[in-house]
Amino acid sequence: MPILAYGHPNLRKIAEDIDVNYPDLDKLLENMFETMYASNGVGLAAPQVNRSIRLFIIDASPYAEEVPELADFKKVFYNAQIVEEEGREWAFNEGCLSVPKINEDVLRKPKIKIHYYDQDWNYQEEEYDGVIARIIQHEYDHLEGVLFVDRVSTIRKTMLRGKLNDISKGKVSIDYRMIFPSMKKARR
Amino acid sequence: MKLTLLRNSIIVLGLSMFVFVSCQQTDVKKEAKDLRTELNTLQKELMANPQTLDAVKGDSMVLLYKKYAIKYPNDSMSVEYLFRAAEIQMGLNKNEECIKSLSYIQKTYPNSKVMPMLLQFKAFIYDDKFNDFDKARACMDELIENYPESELIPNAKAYRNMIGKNPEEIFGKMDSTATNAN
Repeated sequence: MPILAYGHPNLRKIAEDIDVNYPDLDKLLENMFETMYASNGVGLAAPQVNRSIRLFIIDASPYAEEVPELADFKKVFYNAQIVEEEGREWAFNEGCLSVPKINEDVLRKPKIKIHYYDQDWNYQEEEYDGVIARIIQHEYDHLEGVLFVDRVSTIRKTMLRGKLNDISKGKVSIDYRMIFPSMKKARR
Repeated sequence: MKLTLLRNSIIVLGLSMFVFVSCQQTDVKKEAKDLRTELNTLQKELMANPQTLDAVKGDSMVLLYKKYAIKYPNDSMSVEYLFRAAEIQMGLNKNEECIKSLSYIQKTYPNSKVMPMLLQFKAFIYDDKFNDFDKARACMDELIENYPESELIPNAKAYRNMIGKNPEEIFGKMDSTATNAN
């Protein structure tokens, strides 16, 4: 599936809840995992593949070397709601498939409480911290129409202006399919 | 006789007090001057290599600035020194301490002429170092509301409107400003 690039207005929409009857959900999940793996991502939110629904997927196994318990962390989150964030904010260098070739330190709180439905539509209330909380917060932001570059300082945003402008115009070299705001069709 | 003696004693005591106070004032002035000399020497050392801020010297400088301001709170240089201390703290990435120093200046010298600059500086720290856009906006609002005549106002208003906005909103505003200007 092509990924929406920075500047695409659909990345700014607040995603809507879905239910188990959402059309072709299994196929969508399969395609999203395939897209995420093909682009070497650890998380992907449905709005990034042009579906404004409250769904994101995570496979944090690439972080297993640093955090061994993440070796088998592969999850689907439907209709997620982060109900609490706490702790002293910490910086982590984030990147995003929709904002290629840009990495920035982002400050977020380390602990979260999240309510969601899992892949089998079982309701879950869970708490996470550290890197996994960070990935969830990043993907969750997509459901709210927020990108990680929104969370950096005004001066950093201003400094990123040229790069962001290039991305929105498709002037970036990437090896996965993207939809750029200025283009009608996906390009490879 | 007794009255004359008492009067003379009072005069002598008064003269002694005058001499004592004068001497004390002279001591205070000398002490302040010595401290300023010490400050200037360390300042020069610190500025000798402007590319890198020596952490140890930076800390010593901050301590000296604070020492001066606490000892001579009414001295006209005290606010300036405290402001410089905050700048050094930011340079040393001691951002929480920097905010504390700025808040101390606000509380202790609310009518100081550095206030507009201080509020802008504080907003920048909240924005850039803590990404706390609400607090940054609050500082800028205070600046715009309380110091409408400040020369910082035109840029302050533009900056205030950018804080916490997403890049598209910021660049959209900047582009429309540029278009309007043309």
